[in-house]
Amino acid sequence: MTDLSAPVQLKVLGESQLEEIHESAVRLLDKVGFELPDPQLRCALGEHGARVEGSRVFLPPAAVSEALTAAPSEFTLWARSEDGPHLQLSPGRAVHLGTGGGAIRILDLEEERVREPSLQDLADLAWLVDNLPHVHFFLRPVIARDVPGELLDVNTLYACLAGTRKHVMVAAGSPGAVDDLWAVARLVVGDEEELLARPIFSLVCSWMVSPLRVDASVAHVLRRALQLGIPVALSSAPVTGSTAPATLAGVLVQVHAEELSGIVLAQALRNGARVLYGPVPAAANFHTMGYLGGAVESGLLNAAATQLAHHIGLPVYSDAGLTEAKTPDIQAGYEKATNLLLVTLAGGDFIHHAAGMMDSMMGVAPEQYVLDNDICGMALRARAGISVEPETTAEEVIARVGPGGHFLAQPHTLRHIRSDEFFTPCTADRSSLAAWEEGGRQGARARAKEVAREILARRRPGYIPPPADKEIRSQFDILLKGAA
Amino acid sequence: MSEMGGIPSRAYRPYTPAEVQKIAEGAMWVLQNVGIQVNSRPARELLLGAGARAARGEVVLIPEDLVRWAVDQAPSQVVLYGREERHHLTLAGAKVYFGTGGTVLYTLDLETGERRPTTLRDVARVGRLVDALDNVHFYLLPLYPTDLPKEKVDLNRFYAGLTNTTKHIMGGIYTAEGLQQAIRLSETVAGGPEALRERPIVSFITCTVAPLRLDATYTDFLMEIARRGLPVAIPSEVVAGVTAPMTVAGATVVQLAETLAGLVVAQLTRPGTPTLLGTVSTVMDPRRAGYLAGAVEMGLMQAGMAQLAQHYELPLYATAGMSDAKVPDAQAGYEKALTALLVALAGANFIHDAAGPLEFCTTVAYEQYVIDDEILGMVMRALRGVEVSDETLALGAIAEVGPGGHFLTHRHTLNHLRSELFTPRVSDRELRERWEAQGAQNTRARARQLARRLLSDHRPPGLPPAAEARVRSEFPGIELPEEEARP
Repeated sequence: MTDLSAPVQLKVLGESQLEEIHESAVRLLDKVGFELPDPQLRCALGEHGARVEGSRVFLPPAAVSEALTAAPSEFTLWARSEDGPHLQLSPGRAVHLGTGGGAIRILDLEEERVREPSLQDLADLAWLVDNLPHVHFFLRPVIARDVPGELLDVNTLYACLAGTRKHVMVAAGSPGAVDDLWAVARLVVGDEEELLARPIFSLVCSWMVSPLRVDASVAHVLRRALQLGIPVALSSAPVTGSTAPATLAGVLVQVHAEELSGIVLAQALRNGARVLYGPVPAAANFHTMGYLGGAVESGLLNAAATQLAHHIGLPVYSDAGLTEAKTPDIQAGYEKATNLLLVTLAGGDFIHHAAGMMDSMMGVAPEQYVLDNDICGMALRARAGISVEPETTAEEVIARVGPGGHFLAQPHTLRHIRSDEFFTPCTADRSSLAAWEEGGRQGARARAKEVAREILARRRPGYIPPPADKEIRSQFDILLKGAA
Repeated sequence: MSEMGGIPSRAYRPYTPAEVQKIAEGAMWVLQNVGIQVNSRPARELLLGAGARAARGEVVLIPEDLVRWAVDQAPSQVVLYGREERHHLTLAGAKVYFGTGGTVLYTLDLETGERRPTTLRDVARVGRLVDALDNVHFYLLPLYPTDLPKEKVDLNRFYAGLTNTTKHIMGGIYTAEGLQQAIRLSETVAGGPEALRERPIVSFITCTVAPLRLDATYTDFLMEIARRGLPVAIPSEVVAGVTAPMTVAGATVVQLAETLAGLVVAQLTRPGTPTLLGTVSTVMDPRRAGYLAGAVEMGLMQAGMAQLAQHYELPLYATAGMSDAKVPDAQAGYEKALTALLVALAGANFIHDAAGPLEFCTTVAYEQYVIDDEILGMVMRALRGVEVSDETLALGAIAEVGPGGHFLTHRHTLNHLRSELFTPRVSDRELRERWEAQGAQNTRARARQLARRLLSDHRPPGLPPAAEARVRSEFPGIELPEEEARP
């Protein structure tokens, strides 16, 4: 009804600042280089223009620009449902928000306590997200603590695919596990060509140990994923003042250099590989020197890093929606809203951690997914901007109503009251005080719990077709009960 | 570290320059062809004498050149003074300041948590709390003292504000006599009428009535304030769908027309009157057909209005940081943060209602002021952005540390750690184990503790003793107990 197709772009950095940071990172890779404790991978890079001295790899500017040319700037991560949401990644064109994390705690929905998440919890969270319209993809948010390590990767992907048809992202602990994941996804899709053309899952690889040192074992996971043709997010997570400089600009230089090195490595391993530039920079906690995902500086860093990715023409895996709060309280609300808005307005193509996270990435809460769905919707609405055309500036209607009149009964009002111009929240309370008191004086958390309970109680369709399910279970030790 | 007020931002632009132009043209068209109902006779006469045309029913059609003349007369920069220099607000361009606001009748009691009517003592105590909160830059008198008769309200509100904080005081007005008393009180504190005009430590608000109406009472107040040469904000309060078109752009056309009409009256009364264009506008809740305080569309509308004020090169009185939530819960957190950040990123100058309110801005909570101070500090940090220089790019430090090293003990880290990061006061950043050992308190509980501590420990400088003595002898109508005026 209204044209909201031209999104608003937040600019934390100006063009010359972006160029300065980019040039600094390119210089850094040329002069300081990075550590790569693996001869095979060094050799691959050497063949693509890198200078190798011992375990140190130096990248001349030409090697970087070649890799940037080779890396596709647009590709799609697919949902299994025909009507999506498919994630059409193209620098700054559309914002997609999703889950993230590898939490080891979950707030129990019924009892006020934290416990370890199970494989069933993972499938439940996938189903919850399947029903939340403003959460567009499902990056496995919890580690199923009831699954033995050697079965974890395959069971994790299975539980995700069983719970949601949205795009799924997971991690893999070894190159062999990547093959297992590929096999499971191939059985679900039914055809390898189809899976290559329309990847329904992707991998996140934390191949970089900041500052500037590659984790060789993860790099081999990366290599296997690229060989198979799986899209990969290159995650690097430097922290101010401990694994990166204390200044935000310094963190950006370093993480940009790290990401560039990852892109060069990925393109050396497979020319044209679909990779997401994946900076996850954050502020550090003074006291623990740990990660402060909820700090506003983390939002600034991710908004700026999003601009850097777009500056070099790549889609970005970025981060927003973390909090240090231990319960879904007001702090969780403001920390999440601040950073989700910053990174959404900056145009993050694939923003993870956007729903459900608590407790400095250590925990999740089912009701927090429901609350965050509203925050994501509001941030997306802010990005859509304001429609200005004769129909919306409405001078004629203003003239008809005139001074002192009212607009309630105007056809124009009725035309626009349910339009895209207005975001309809799922849990926000907009009732009068009297109605709120009558309804039991529930806070946002209590209302969100009710929504979560209702969704979890819904009858779930079988998202893994029975023949595929049977085949997967015959090949792998799947611990999730009662297939889908 | 805490953040300074007055950081400029043009990072968020909901309108393109062409769209700004279209909205401005729309408002001009409305003023010229639909007109404004002006219920104040002196204001009507003033407008008609300056070239406006009379239409039916006290409606006045204001020509574009008169509006342009008023825009030219009004100063592009308005300085609102605090009683201490560090609290001066330079409203101009895209500089951003945050403060309180509302005409609130209820507070959640700090001790019981229950909702109760606000009193004069609350006006003083909230002022004292605000004085202790670095990221709340002005004290717009937010509470209506329900324990006073209407004729005593104006004098006592301004007195309670002036004695409890040295930040700038802005307030609405309830009676004509009250306006005179508030001005005389402020003159006494400032050292005379000339001193007050030179360095206005107080300013006023006179609202328009949507749609497109300047009512008699407020407009008479407006003209009196302008005659006295004091700063005034003229906010429009449209609710899209009720008193303006349902669309954000259409509602903006109406609110812009209204506040510009007020500006014309102010400038005709006394050219050069320091005037803030203003907006308290929002969208309606389709279900209740009522006012929404935490809607993201309100943030959009307010942010867009900042662009329009910048287009006219006039300061803006804007609204953000409110919530529809009834208690300080997750919803209050995200609605406040989202709207405050949006409007600040657009460079609105004087953002009120940003600290304290809940429940459509009809209730405040002491702990909410403390929590909102934190949100506003984060927003100001976001406005400060990323500093890019050779020093902050840190190439030398990165090279020295080298791949695989760490920055913990590097001097570059020690030099910058504190200046780069905002330091929170109520947010919890402990590890879960420690948080549990400390009693597993949520943020509201921690904020209540901090509010209690600040109220008992913070001692703002009261009025200078001589001024205090004069005020007390000249204004027998002052009801605030002495211990609340000299805490």
